Amino acid sequence: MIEGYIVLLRAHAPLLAIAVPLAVAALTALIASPRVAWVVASFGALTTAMIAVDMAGRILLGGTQPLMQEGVGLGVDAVGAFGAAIVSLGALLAVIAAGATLKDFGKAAPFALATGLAASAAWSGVVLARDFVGLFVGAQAGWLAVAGVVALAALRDRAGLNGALRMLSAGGVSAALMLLGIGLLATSINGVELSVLATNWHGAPISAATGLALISIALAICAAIAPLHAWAPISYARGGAFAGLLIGTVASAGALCGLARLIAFGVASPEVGGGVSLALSVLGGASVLVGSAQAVGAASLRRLAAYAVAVQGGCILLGIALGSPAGFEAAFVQLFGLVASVLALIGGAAAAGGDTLGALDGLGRRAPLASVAITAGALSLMGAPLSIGFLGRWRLIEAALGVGWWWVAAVAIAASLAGVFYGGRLIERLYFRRASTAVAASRDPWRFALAPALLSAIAAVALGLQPIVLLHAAESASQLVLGRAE
Amino acid sequence: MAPLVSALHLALAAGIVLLMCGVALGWASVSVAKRVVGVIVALLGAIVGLAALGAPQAMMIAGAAALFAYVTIGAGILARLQEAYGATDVADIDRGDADAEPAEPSA
Repeated sequence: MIEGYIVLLRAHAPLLAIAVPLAVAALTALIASPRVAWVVASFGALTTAMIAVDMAGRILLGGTQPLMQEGVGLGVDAVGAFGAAIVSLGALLAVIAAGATLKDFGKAAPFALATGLAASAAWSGVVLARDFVGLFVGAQAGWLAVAGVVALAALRDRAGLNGALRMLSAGGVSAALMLLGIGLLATSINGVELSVLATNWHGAPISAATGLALISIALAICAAIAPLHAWAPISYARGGAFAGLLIGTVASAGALCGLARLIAFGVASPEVGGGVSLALSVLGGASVLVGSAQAVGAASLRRLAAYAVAVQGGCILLGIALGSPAGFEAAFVQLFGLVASVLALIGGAAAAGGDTLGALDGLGRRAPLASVAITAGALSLMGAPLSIGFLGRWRLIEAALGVGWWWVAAVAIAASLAGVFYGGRLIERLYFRRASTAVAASRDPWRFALAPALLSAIAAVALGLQPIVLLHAAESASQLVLGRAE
Repeated sequence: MAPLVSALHLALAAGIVLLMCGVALGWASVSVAKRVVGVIVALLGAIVGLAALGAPQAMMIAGAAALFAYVTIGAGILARLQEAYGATDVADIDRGDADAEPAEPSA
């Protein structure tokens, strides 16, 4: 009998990946005690992550039919399954890590946790949406939820309001562009279903391509792709650790997966494929160069994380722009690396007890676990051998040379060289400097809530040593999505 | 003979102009209130554009819901910024925040 229920639950995994975090969010918001709310939220996030990872495993590794329809609004494809797993895992680790920083929110902590879970559900909705209505609603709900968490951080630091304002104006612009883009696309392809995007490109290719470009720009704003990332530095730096983790591991990852899904269809179209690839590659290249320059000059760890996300996001766009299975595979591997790096850097900053680079001085002796996590994240950003970052860059260079785009390979190498500067600076501070002022060690037992996030970040980065499962999943996702689009 | 420019074309053009003005205002205005207004104008323009294009009603309802959410949250943030900083100019707010954060070269 229990087996029957499990089969039933697995059959409705796409719906549950969204409904469970929403239901738990409602429950969490009703709980008065922050600690009890944290336990409930963590349990809900864990359940969601198990559902999403099981669904991804069945589709990407088990050979289950990738296109499952769920109700009127959800449909799972390979990228959706991959994205839902990444988003829900990121949300799980962010919610667990929030246990160490709940005091930032005071009595509003249950509400912050509930909003974080709602953001996770909404961004999962983006990657599992069957039509543009679902994509738009998910993106806006997810965006406003994350902006809400940034605003709640103003209870401790008023600058959180400044971050929320930046997110609100960027999100509003993104929403308007996405709406008009969907309108143009929907009238050109005679429908709002994503599945007809690959086949109904006739009649008005220019209008459809304009619509696709507007939606892509809207998602690129949400993913903090440079130079559209003006909102990101202040939101990462002043929104608190929980908001930073949510932005990096949930919002950016969800937006990039949504973009990958959308572009998989556009690239396959002979009418607009070339233009889409060119536009994306230019945006990706600009993001890598601008993000790298800003990361080298970053004055705080969380701002550095914001710029590093722009660099990684740019590399992901370059992989998607190649339009080949190898390019998509490189993009998915780098997406995994992006989430791991954000967890390592922002989790490490929270463990260090300060956001400035000066707070890292001598941290290797004071907090060895946090230091190892930050080091692993920095090495991954550099693309150092045996890290997940290296694997992603290597795959990107291989894919770029495979289609004769040598300049993409040069940009990937430039990203790694810039990473040596800003990542190397972090490692130098951790292990080769002494703290200039006496630093009191934190006695708060809840600081250990950061440990799972840091350990996961280390483990994810170490996947560069044994990446077979990740590579298999990424390869399946790329082949399934491109095969379906063709 | 059908007119070269129909009312729908004009509505679409008006929507796009509204959207562009709203995007410029929402993205780069020096005043918080103008940014919020810019976002509202941009979303209104997009909804007008959707209607002119004959997009499905579900999209317009979703757009209207997003507009309502941005108006509500924008007004809340505007009020809280006024309380916290005593100003609603982005430059003043940034100046207030700069004291608490190390300087950084601009991009």
